[in-house]
Amino acid sequence: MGNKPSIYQSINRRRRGILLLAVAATVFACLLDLCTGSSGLTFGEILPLLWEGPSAGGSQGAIVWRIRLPMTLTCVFVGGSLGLSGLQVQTITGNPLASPYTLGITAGASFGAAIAITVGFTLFGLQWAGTAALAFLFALGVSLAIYALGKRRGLSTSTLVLTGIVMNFFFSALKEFLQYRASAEIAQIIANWSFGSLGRSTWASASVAAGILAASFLLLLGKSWQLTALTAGEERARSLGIPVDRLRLQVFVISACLIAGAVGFIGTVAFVGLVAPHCARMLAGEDQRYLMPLSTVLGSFLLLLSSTVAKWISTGAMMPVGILTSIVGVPFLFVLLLREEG
Amino acid sequence: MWRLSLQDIAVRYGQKTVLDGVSAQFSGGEMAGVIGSNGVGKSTLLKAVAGLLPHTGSALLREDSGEVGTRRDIAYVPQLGAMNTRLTVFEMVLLGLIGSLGWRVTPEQAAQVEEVLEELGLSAIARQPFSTLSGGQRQLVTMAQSLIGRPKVLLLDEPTSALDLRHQLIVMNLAQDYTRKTGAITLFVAHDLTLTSRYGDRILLLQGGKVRAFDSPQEVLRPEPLEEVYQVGVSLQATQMGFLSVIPTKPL
Repeated sequence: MGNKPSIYQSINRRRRGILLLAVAATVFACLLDLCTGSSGLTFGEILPLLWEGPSAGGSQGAIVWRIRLPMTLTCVFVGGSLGLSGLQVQTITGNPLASPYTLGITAGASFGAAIAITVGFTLFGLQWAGTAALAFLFALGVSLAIYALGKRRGLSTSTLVLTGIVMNFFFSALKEFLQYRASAEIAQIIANWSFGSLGRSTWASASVAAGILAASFLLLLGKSWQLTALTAGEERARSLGIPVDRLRLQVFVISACLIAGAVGFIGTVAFVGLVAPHCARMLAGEDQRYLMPLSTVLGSFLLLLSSTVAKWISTGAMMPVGILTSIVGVPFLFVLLLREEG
Repeated sequence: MWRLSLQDIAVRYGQKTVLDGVSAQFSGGEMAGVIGSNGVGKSTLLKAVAGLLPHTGSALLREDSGEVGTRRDIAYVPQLGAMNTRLTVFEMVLLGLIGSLGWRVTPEQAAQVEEVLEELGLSAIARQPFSTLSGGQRQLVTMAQSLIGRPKVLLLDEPTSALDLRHQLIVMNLAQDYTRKTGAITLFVAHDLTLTSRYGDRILLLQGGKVRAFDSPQEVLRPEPLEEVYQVGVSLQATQMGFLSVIPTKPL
């Protein structure tokens, strides 16, 4: 035997190294995002303001604590939620093209949010809570519909792509109908919401997204081995004693919560949930004990980068980050599709 | 000695009855081939025994001392399918211990995997992604995944389909060695009747979801039942190695 067990140790040592690097890169991206903005604050000016705490005075303190920090933290938690939910949707469907956006779950959530905005639905008297709640309900509904369809017809690439097209068209049409019937002001709010803008970030959005991400992450982490086994194929997972149907349903529901938590506040952010899991898988393989944290961290990293670039591109008025992720994500999806067909 | 007793196993898919009252007894150290035409329920029988399909009747695993086996004592190895997983060979085999894996893989568990890989000559490819392996290597890895849990019953669903001749023998010899050494019971589904005759101590012939015959290869592999079940003429020859060679001659 001798040195044999070290094979596994060395594989995992490499993975831990990659994870640490990703965390370090994300921390750097956080600082970069914090330092980017129209007010021209430098890192040297921001650091003391952060150190001072929320009571930091003056307009610069307000900029950092009321605008930049909530935006950066929302990026971290929303990006992480999209990375994690994208990974799990891909795992349970066994399809690398699956993601909240390509399956139309995000479109469903957007329609739910549009209803809330149109009718002025509130929860505990809070507009954002009502919007997030309806986004959640629709994300859950679409997830369950896809789950039911998958049970009947299997989740092949063609079924998934068709499902995504149908869901996206259907909910986009419904949302456009709402916009058409709504007043100009409401229609504008819905349109802005659909772009996926970090401009709506608040401490509340960051806190709720953080709470959902933390709870979901812990729940999913407990299923690491089961989810890893599922990547070896459904029949093999069943033969290893994994309750595949129950696992899928649980993970679909958790993913729907993550997606709703993510898009319920800042709107549609496409492709982060597709790109982050692919990069994570290429770097760390399929062991979910490493893959899950890495996909989450890379989701945060990608959204932070997008946010920083969006601020650079449009100084003064921040470009909606959803537009940027779409521009980058569409070619990525195209390459994946071609590879799948090949 | 462990014994597997199948009593009136029946499986329905909607209105269709696939298996209809299959009963058979198997003893430890025995290799049994399951044969029959396409769609007769061979794989279904294995899945029912593995507890992967709802069925009526019973599949009871019991030791002579009275100890009763659980589902964990039964390992089902499905047919090889396309799989694009990035799991490494090491991880695939490690998953065979999933019932006892905690958050951290213990050095003992890692050593156990290494030992099985060494036994099967797979150590050199331990780091390779499973999806990059040849069909024969894949089958060996999935066998290793099942054998690491030291099952009392090994169910192999067409273990040699899509394998070249060399790997067919390697895979079947592996199953036979394991069965003989550990006193396990192995049921394997195969379309190759000569291979079944070579490795099966007994053969279970299914027809119309029922047991047509369950006996030694010499008793089951006779022209009359084979021609009726497979609708082909057959020529049987005893080989110098002591097993029957079954050659289909013409469709009937």
